[in-house]
Amino acid sequence: MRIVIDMQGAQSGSRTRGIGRYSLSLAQAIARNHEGHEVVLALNGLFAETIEPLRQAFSGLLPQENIQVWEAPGPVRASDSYNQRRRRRAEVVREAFLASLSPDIVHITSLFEGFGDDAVTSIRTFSKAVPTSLTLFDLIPLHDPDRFLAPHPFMKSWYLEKLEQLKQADLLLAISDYSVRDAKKRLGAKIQRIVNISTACSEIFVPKQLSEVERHGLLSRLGISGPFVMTSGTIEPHKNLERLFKAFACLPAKLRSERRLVLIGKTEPSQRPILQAMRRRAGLSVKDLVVTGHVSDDDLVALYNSCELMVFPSLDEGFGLPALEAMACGAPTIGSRAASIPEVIGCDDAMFDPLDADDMTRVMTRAIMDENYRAELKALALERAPEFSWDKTARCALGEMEALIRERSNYGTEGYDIVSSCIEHLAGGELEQGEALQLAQSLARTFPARDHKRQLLIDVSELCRRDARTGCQRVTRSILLQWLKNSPGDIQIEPVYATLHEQGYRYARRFATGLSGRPSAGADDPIDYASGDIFFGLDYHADTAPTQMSSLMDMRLHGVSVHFLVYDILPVTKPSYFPLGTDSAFSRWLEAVGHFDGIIGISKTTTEAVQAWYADSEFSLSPDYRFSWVHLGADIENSAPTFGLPSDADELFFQLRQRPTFLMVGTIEPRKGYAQALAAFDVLWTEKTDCNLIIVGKEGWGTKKLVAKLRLHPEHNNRFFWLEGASDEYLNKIYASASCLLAASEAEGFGLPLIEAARQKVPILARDISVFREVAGVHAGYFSGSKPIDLAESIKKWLALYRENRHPKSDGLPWTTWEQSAKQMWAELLSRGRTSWRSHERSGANKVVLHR
Amino acid sequence: MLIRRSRPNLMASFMRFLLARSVLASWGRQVFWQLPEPLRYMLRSCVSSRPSPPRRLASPSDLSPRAREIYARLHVSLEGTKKEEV
Repeated sequence: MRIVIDMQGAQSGSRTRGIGRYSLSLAQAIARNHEGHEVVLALNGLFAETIEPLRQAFSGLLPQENIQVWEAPGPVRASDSYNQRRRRRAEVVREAFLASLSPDIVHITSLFEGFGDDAVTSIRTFSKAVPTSLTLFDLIPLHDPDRFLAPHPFMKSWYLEKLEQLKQADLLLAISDYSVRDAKKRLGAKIQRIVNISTACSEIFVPKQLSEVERHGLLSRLGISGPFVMTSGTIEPHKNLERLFKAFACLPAKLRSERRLVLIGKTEPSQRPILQAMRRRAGLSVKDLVVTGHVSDDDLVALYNSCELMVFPSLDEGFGLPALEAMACGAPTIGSRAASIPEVIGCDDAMFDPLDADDMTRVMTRAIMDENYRAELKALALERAPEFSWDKTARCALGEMEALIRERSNYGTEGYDIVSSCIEHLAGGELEQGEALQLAQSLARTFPARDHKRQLLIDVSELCRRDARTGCQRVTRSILLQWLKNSPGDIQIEPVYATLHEQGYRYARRFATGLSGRPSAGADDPIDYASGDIFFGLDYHADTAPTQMSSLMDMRLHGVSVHFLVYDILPVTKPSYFPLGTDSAFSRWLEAVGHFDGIIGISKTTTEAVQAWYADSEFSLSPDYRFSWVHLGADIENSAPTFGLPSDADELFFQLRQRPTFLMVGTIEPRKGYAQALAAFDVLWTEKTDCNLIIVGKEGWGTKKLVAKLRLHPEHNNRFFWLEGASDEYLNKIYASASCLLAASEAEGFGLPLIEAARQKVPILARDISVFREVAGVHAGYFSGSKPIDLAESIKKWLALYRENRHPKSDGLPWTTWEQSAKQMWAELLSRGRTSWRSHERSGANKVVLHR
Repeated sequence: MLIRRSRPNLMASFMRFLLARSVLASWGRQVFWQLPEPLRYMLRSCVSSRPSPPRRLASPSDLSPRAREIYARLHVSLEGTKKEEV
């Protein structure tokens, strides 16, 4: 059986109330007790902020691809008549979406949603035959329609429409016997099948021994002094708070003066004066009543464990969850003899007549004064609470669903394409162009094309705008080229880009055509995406991810997993090496990246540095956030290289052959160690040590003085050479002519020149930093010290060994090709991506008969 | 008379202002992207990284291929409605 659960009860404005807790707990318990049934959650994309927390709440219980998101253009709240047409369309989209998941049954966690927010619930306004069950909490608004339904002009018609839809449900899963009786009494034979599956409270509500420090801290934070009687509720008259205030005011003077009445529950600022008026009318002073407002779950547990007595005086409830929560914590609990509350408390001796304040006073007084009675209440609470469990409730719900499906097997007829029918249905209504564009976009996200091939969306925002031939861009080009050449057939490789002046990514098809030389696959359209796709930020650009957060979040909430490649985090660990402001831009980028699914570093050192940065900045990463690393490739010829040799190349190679040549590769930047190296060679040349130094790299930033020195150096083009614009072909040949690669950089993300040198068996003398140790291991010589003389001495020692052929060789250094590197990255990404929902489609699944 | 004469002038000035603003913005963007990355960092760090504005959905070309295909199917009715109104 495939059970699709519409989770809007845990997404809408009800999510912080009992309905939200119930919806989430029941769905989790169903997922835990599924016993071979498949559970799929349907989420409303208009509550975007709730989607990630819900995904987290089901982590380990359900595969992520079983959490599916639909969306429709909003706003759609029913309290605004302007939304009516949009709301009707959203109902169609939602029902078509639920039907498209081929459910055996759809369970609606809360039907009465969407009056004041963007929840959309309906039954059989479009799809006629999907068996539907729903949770019935209560019908309290029908008990006093003038108060609950009359104040707002549209509330009554909205509620009555929902009631009509409720009658369409095949199965009502009520939360108490009282709700069953009440529904039968008010709706009679119009409801098809109703059963009590009861309820439970969260497992966090347990007896807890608080230390005196914890207890004092909690009570003083909430403004409570001395022993206290606790209650919970809102100012709604059926919560019966005013009568409780009166009953508390009538306690014997000594009892009352020694204790406070503490009211827990969300109170709007506008409700405070009403509450204070109730207090005054009851004869309570300001200090007698403490109103805490909404408290955290932890505080609530602590309060239940600290109170002297819990009183639940409500006149009308679907269940009465606060009473059960208090009992589960072992709090002595008394309550009203009304509605469902006797089912919860289960002992007449612990109840009072809620319409009689004197009776309430009597039971409260007894509970406060009589130690034995209070001990009995406590024992009753601890004995009674375990009878309610979510697993029991879920198994009961599953049993009822199974029974319904047995009766309704083969509910539909085959042949309808639900998505096409939905589009046709929507096209039949009045639709302005702007609305049609919005609707088309929502439908495309909700219903990906049937032939949608899983995509690897590769961000090349910077590279496709300009190729500055930096190290990052070489990596981007090389990896992308490999993936374009060798992509497995079942995944579509799509380079994409974003700009800073609009949200959303576009396919970089013109760029891909230019890079791969293949015929164009189309225009640079805005991208389509679907659950199971993977987005990979391969190219680095500081501003793209922070400014595209909204579109990246949209992708993620629709099931696209989002990852980034990290080249290094030196701008934040060594800010002095970079231009002013680089560190703050980079921090913003790291923060943006931390909101998604994971990173791949280009070295273990870099990955550990990223982990340390998030830990130090106390950034809250998702528990499933993935860190891993992949080394880069050494074969320049497979990185879309540039070609060409200058006319004086032979002359240079002749010069390089005359004496030992040390090669340095990289942009002229402060961290690269060029100043120390040049000064060290000045020392060597002064001491008549005969060797060459050649630098291949463009001028970067922050090195104006050094650059002037390089250009005017007396050994320039004699024993010192600086090539600012060497092609990759030229660089390859220079590697081949060098005696040693000098890697003097003080900080790196990887150290690409090391493996490029090793590939040509060029020995390496590197600064002793952890990333060079990681890449080159024992296959390089190392130097330390920041003074020119330190390096000069190391070079002299290295030359002595070189002459005797005893210098460290790079021959055994393990290096990967770009093809291997791209394959490893590919495997890592695929292991992270969510399985596409489409692979879960069932052949011969029930098709749905549509309302025409 | 003064008012009647100045109205077209005001309008023309405003249009010229809009045109100049748009040309300058476009030119500025091009120049910005030609700057070396460190300089762009510095400029960008002067103003915080604000989120890019949402993509305007003004025509089907602003839609993804799948959305455009759906739009075309919705559009059949849109055209029909317009014709009926006419």
